[in-house]
Amino acid sequence: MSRVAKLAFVVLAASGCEPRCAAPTGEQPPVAADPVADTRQRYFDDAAYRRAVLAAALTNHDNTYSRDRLARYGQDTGGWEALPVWNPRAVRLTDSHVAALRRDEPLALGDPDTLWNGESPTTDADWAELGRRVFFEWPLRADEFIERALLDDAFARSNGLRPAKDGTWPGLVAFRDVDGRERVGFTCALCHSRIVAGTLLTGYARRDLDYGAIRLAYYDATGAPLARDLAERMQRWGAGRADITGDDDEDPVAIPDLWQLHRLENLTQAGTLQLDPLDAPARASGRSDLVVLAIRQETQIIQANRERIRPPRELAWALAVYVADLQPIPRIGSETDPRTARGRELFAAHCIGCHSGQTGSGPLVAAERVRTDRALADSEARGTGMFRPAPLVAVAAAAPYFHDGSVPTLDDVLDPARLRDDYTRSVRGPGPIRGHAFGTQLPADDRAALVAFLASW
Amino acid sequence: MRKRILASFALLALLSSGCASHDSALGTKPEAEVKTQLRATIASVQMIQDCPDPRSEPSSPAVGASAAKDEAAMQPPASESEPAPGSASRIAGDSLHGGGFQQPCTQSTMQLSLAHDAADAQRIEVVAVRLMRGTDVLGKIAARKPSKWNESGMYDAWDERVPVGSEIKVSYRIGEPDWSKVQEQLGAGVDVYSQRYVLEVDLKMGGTTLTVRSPEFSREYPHVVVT
Repeated sequence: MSRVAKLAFVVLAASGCEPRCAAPTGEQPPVAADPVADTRQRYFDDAAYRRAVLAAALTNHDNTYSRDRLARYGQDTGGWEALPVWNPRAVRLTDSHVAALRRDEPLALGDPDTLWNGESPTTDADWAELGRRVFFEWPLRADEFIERALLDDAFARSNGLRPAKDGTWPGLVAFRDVDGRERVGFTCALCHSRIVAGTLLTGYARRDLDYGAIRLAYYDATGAPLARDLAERMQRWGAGRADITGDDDEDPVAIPDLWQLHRLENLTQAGTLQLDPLDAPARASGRSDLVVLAIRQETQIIQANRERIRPPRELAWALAVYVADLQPIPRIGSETDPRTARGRELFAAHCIGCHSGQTGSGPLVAAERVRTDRALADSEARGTGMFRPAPLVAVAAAAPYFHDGSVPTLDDVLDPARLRDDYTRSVRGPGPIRGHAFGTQLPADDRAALVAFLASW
Repeated sequence: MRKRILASFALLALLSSGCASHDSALGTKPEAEVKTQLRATIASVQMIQDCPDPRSEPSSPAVGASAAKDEAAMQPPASESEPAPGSASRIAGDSLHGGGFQQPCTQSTMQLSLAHDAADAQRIEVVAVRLMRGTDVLGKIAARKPSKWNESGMYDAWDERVPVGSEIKVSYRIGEPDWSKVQEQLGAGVDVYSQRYVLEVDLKMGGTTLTVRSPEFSREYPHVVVT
């Protein structure tokens, strides 16, 4: 469907208007004083609008991700609209909670306040601040595997679970679940924040988080049975990778950084959602990207919480505002590196056809053109038949590469040795990593120049 | 690639019961018509696993079990079955403090929204739960442990009474159909996880039964980590 057609669809579906309702020719519709406020309020109040934006944003209506949402989201009375609204009582997990776990004592949560006091923020900064709390404190679900991992300090730390300077464990919360039990849960920040040299970096993928190892350790410690093929899969995930789709395919993905999402065109490596389902002017003025992000977060929270509750829509919006504009870590490369200018020329000649956007991402590319492992692109759960060109913001600090995190360095991305059977550096083990051969045909000096340019992004 | 958006399965069902008007041939003033309407919607269904109920909870009979008990191979309500050590039906989470860690188990549930316009609180009963694909009944399922969303933001045990003048949100633990029979009906080689199902639930209030259908859902793999 073309962008124009989508826009027409959204406008008509949301307003209930026939075309004759449009403003008379020659008259301009009134310009809203605060289009973001109008968009936000419409997202809160108008189920038909939410549904229309969702339908326009979903790339492939036939995958499970889309079908679940189209069957349940944005209806007047039924489906997820009929779930109770949950305002969780959660606190960031602290060293004292962990110590209690290790003594096999209750978390002693007490009676914490709800995450949100029910008052809508009045400024963008306040919305972002509320979103930061959601990012760090909304329990996506309780997790017995992580609870178990926390009992062994060395194991926890070596697999990406560690406290910040202030004694809190970013990405983990102690909370009372919807059945009233005190649990340890994880939040967005588990995968998308990282402590580097004592500093907590928000939006930075936690590439030392080995959730597969955490799960396997649980089964090892408890003697609980686990099918061999599942155990082998979790073993293969390795640090920074996990299979987070709802199907049974083996399609783990690298945890992505969340830099400057508002500049992206698509969400997820398979481009499951388009952030720009409306036309560009609508996005610029009304921040339709925030509506898509908010719907993505809202439905993610509902599914992660086993569809027993839904979040206050204000919190989904706040989270969208917060994650939309997370700023990257400082670049590693230098604009003054003499190879950078040459690398820029090479990028323009060989890469920009796909990596065309502000972030180095761009419109979706057919999987048969990319030719990397296409399990994710074809997945029943979220597949679209396409891949999103990887965003290149702070790409030098984003190893390993490709959607599945199989390539260890930028040099390897461009190294023709990667394509050969005797390649041994794959994150997934010995053997070639096929596909995305673009640039591998360049001379070594040019490949180095291209890497230097990418490091300056 | 895009298909027509599937029609919503959210249902607003109306149930009428009570007295018919007595329009007397003798010309007496007719009594006011008394109409009781139950509004019921299935908000969501998760078909994952059936887990033993935590031992700290009092057992409750499985509602809908009477309709499902003729299913010879249907799993018994988990509260009535002692889990085998190391079996997939042992539960984690509830056992965190004092019981050690056990096999993870994610309970299947269904969530409903209920309201009525009767003058008094009404008791409802789930008399049957059917797993459907289209119009085909694939199996019967027991529902148990009704709970109601409370003002503190959690589900509490619930006596299945719907108060006057307010909509309530409730949740039931649900069992599983006999998947081997489901497989039989769908045909060998059909992946029962990738099918789209609905639940059809018969709710009884007063003397009348109302049937509501859920949104579409799939059977979920217990081991997946969806975010």
